[in-house]
Amino acid sequence: MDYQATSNLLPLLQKGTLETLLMVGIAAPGCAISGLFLGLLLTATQPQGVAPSRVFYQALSAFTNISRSVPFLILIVLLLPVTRLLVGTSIGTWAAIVPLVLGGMPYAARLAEAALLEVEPGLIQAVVVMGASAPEILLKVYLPEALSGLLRAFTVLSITMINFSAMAGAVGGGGLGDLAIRYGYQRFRIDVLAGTVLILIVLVQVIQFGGNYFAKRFYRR
Amino acid sequence: MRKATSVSQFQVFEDEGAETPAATLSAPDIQTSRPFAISLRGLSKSYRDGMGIHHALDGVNLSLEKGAIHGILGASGAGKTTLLRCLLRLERADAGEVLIEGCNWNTLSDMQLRRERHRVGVIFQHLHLLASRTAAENISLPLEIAGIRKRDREARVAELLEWFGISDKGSEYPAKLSGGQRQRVALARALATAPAILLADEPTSALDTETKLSVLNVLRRIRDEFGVTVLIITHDLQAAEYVCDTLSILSSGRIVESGPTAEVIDSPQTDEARRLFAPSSSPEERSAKASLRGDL
Ligand SMILES: Nc1ncnc2c1ncn2[C@@H]1O[C@H](COP(=O)(O)OP(=O)(O)OP(=O)(O)O)[C@@H](O)[C@H]1O
Ligand SMILES: [Mg+2]
Repeated sequence: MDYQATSNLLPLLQKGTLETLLMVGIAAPGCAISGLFLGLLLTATQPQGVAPSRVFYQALSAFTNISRSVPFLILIVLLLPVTRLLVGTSIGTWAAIVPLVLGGMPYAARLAEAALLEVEPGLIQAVVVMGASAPEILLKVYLPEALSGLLRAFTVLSITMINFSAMAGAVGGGGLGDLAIRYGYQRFRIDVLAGTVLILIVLVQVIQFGGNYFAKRFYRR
Repeated sequence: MRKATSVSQFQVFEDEGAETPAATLSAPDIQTSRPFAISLRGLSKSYRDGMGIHHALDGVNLSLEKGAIHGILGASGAGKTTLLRCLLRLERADAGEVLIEGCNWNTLSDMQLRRERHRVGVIFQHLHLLASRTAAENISLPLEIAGIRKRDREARVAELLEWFGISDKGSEYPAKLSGGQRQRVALARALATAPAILLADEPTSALDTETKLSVLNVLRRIRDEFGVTVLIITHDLQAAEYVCDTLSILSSGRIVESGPTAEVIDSPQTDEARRLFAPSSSPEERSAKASLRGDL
């Protein structure tokens, strides 16, 4: 009972928030960039794409489907050797970032693909008959035309990353989710539980608001 | 004899003293001294559907002379879209050849094809302007793809904006433009690389009569001033009659008639053509046509 009281609310919340921000701040852009790259490849190589390749598309598609069907908690465990190789340790906030990026990447790829496929096929055809190459079409048409949708996808991705990062406690990654479990649930610290939930609500609101703002700014239709 | 009119650094060729333009059903003689803008030889394309094989294009032969406005008229399902797609090699035909300005597009490598594409401007029914680019940036796109330097691009875009009377709209996004202005931007974009051929896919469908007339008049001005060959693929008889020098009738994947527009319309030789003209034989339509002609 007593030792719990020594852990003050505010320092705990501050530490948890910073850890969450660090994990999401690195994992979300990491996922977004790698996911966008994979999403462009998926878009280009699909049967109706600008560089169709059945084999490549099927392989990439299978990869994203399989890795997305592994529950995140299990993925963390499976990736332990990789994590150790990349960051030297399998414990801590940095160690949690590795499965976050690798686990989120195929999800980001599908989100990006969905946003890119919103670009009208007729528009692509109009640029094909101008003599554009596949890379030109991806960079000059798909990317700018889908920008607004991609920003919305990035918003969804960031919020999902916050949820994913809550499981990072499994590898001692810390963060708000970890805090809520260890103090709020296991030690009945209602104040910590309420505090983490409140901060999470604010975080998600801010991300959603910011995402909406930028998506709207670049919406030109 | 050809006269080169210089439009800044772009060369637009005009045929001097061209004879009456012709569209012929026969496959062209390769030895002929008069090369055609577009020649289609035995172009065929079939699709497998539920009931078997459907011949969307069934041996299309057509030769279109340079410098004229040609029309291909066909009812729904006649094969217009398929013809356009095969002509532009968006789809490979099963058999037959497409010659654009004497160049056989079937045998081109992908890279050669991309370069040849600068010689054909296309305006689509739904325009397909990039929403993320301003009017000027849209017109600039084909020039970027063609690898034209920025300074030359800007000069060419300014020139085209001016020609189409939309100089003040260059920095507007398409969403902020009127339908007529968007159409002009799309036309300017199609003409950016000074193509020899302008292909128009249903340029007038879903337009009111007034806008339709202005679009058709612009197409005629484009032919007159830029010397491009224009091909209009449409189901709009009224529009074809108003603007086309030659008319070819597409029916069930075949060109069943071809010739000077008035001739084809006044004395159709086939049932297919007669059927296509039949609905427009009501007195109202006739008078509408007469008034359209009067506007000429
Ligand atoms: N991808 C395809 N797969 C199967 N059948 C097709 C395909 N494209 C066209 N067809 C068939 O080929 C025929 C010609 O179609 P096409 O779209 O060229 O006609 P159209 O003249 O453009 O008609 P519309 O004026 O209605 O657009 C139709 O019977 C159509 O069902
Ligand atoms: Mg069609």
